[in-house]
Amino acid sequence: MVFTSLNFLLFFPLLAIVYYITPGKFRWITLLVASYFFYINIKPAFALLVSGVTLSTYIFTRLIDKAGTESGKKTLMVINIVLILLPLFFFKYFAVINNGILSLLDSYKVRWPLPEIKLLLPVGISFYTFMAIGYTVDVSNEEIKSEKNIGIVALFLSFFPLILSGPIERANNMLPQFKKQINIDFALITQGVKLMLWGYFMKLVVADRIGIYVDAVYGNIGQHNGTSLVLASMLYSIQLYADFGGYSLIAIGTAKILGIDVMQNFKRPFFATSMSEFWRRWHISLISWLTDYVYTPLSFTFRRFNIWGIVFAIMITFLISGIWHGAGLTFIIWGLIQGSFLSIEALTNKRRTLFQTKHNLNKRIWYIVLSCIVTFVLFSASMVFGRAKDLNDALMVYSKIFSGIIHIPYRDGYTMLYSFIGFTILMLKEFRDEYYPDHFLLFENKNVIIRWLSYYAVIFMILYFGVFGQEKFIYFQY
Amino acid sequence: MIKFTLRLLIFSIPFLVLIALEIYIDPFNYFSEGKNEVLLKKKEEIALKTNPYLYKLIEYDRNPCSTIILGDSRMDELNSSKFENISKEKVSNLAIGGGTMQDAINILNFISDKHDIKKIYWGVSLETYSGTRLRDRATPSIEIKKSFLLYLLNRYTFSSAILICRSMITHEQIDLYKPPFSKEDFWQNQLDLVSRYLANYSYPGNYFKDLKKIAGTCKEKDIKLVFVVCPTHVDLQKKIHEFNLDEQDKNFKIDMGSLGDVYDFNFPNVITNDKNNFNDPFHFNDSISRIIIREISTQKIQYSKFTSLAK
Amino acid sequence: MDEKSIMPELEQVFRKVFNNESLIISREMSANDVDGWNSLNHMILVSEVEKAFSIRLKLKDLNKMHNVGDMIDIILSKL
Repeated sequence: MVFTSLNFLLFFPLLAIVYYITPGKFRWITLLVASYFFYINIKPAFALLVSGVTLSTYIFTRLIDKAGTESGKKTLMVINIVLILLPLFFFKYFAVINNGILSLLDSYKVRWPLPEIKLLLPVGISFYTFMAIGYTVDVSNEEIKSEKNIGIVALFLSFFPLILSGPIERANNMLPQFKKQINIDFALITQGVKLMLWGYFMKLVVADRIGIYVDAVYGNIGQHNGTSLVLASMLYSIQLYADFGGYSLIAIGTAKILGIDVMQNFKRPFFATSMSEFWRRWHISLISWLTDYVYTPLSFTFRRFNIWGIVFAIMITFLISGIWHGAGLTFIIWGLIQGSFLSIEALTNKRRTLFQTKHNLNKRIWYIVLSCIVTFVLFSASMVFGRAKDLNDALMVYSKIFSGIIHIPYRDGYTMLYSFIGFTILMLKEFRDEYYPDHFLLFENKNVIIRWLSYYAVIFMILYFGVFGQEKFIYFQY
Repeated sequence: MIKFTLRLLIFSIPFLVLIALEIYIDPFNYFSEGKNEVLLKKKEEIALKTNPYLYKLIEYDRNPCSTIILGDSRMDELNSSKFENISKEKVSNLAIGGGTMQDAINILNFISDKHDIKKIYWGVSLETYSGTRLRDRATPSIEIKKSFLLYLLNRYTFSSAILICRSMITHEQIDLYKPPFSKEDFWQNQLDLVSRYLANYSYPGNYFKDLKKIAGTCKEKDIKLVFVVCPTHVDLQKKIHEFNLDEQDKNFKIDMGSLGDVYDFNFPNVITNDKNNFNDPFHFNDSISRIIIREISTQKIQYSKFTSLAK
Repeated sequence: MDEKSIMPELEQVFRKVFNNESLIISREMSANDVDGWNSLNHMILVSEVEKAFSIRLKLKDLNKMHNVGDMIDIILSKL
């Protein structure tokens, strides 16, 4: 059951009704049952896995709280982290490594005892594993007390709006919310619906439409020229944002309707003027998780190396980010590229800031626009490694792009027109949000007629321009 | 709470009205066969042209023939009434204008799940049998057909319902998708279009794999697989040579020959040499369509090169 | 050593790290209020603070530092 399936559109309103009918104290039980139902609906076996991770995390966090010494806490924390990383490692990376060794040894005619493994990745495993690790570390650092009620822990790790593709939430934000008495608030529900509506717009009208073009070009790299590949790569960044950002909005909106506040996952990333700023606006939940649990401890440990300690921490953090995204070499390269971008920015930070202040560039519109464009191009360039199916394809894309000849790009009539319309509307809204947040209000307009007309307009656009029949979100295999 | 529910209900009114209209008009005959003659004609004018996949798939479910036709706008010309007139053969025409090979494969796989097919007339050509012609328009329509909610909520149903309603009320003729060209301009336009496809030609390994699987299934289930290479005007045939695709064209016909019977009309002959036989270099006219039907249906070879699948 | 006496020196550290000679710090000030104070710079700031006051911080202390006020309290506790 994905957010864009009709099953979900039927399931969710019913759940919301049952949820609010349930007396306040027991509402979390309704959510827990619904979350497991949602997950079992995808594949029953995977529900066992998340309950296993839940059980382990619950037991160890309780033990950590009872442990007297800091080293005792640390040891228990490490054990739990290793335990819950095992399934993630096994499902995500073992098959790739095993098959890699298999083909390598095969080319030397050496036998490798294990057969080729084809494993189906349990949906959401990367997300709830990270959430569980975060919770364990927080308890060990005494940031939060371990939760006595295993049901609440289970709900935290299986909460259905988050389980498929995040945002990656924190225990200290979610656990208290699950325990408190939530009163029905129609203003919140309306807000949640509006978020979902816009999320569906982003996903169905913008992302999936652009995806048709990107899939056509990347699906047959050999046939397409450099110009088409440049266009497709840049479009892929937009598609990824609209897909993942839209999905996050639907998740956040869904939670909001249930009275639960979930963190923002994207903040108009294409208005970033540097890669560092970009990573404060893109997949915020992942980056802040990595910052808190990987980057900060690392950069702190190596702070005596000053800027080089920071560079090291950045590279490791983004290497982990790359690996988290996928098990292939391309993802590792992608992670290292991102790390390099940020390291270069960190290393040149002082000089750049001086230059910018000296020429008063930060106030110049052309400079801001140029910075946004450069950032976008850099990100799109790195995303070639995210989109190409393997290293060979990625390198072929680059060699075609830098062949120096400009061709007429691959054209696809309606797809490009509809993509352009959708993308423009999205960008206009984001521009308004970034620079004129209280003006030109539509969904938030005081006039009920304008509000309703804008809802109708967006619903119409979704039904008319939306692409249906494709139900896979890009971040789904994580 | 009452205020909220009331507002929600008022907000939903346009949607409820729209859905009611869609159920009443039922542009694609999803809910029932439809007996109103005038309405049926409007549906053919509007709904069929808006989404031929959805229309034809639903129609096939209601009146399935064991002989089907797959392909693009040219095979679409070989309709069931012409077949009825010429050879009395009962066919269901599932060819779609602009359809790709992927469309045809998806349609075949979908209907063969539920229906018994005995014979397939499959229109193929070099520019559709290409690794760059992968577009799939069939799947979204198949998804719509499978779910009545999707049927009510998709843009084809509601735009068709609205247009049909408007046409019924104002009695105006709605002409969708008429090309805004003169005959000479359209001639060149079609030439350019197909040239673009040929220019991007690549050998479709995947299509051959899929077709081989289908041919295997046909052999098992004793289904007759007949490929038809429709005639195109020599102006267009010259393009194959222009783009250095003679070898590929030969291989394409050999591939087809290895999978089923082939009626190849596409070479310089008395049909293809004459401009009068064509509306544009790609589309033959009505009388030629009848000739083709006669030939493939009665198997009296006159104009085509026929190869039979070796047993 | 009290808050009043370490403030000037702390301010100097901030001015040096963030390249802003006119920066004035206050207890409520946090990363949102200073241009360029982000996770990339934070560790440099921490390192400089340690050097300036000859103290050694733990990771736990870092997690408790949400604003300048927290920072001052932690410095004082280490002196």
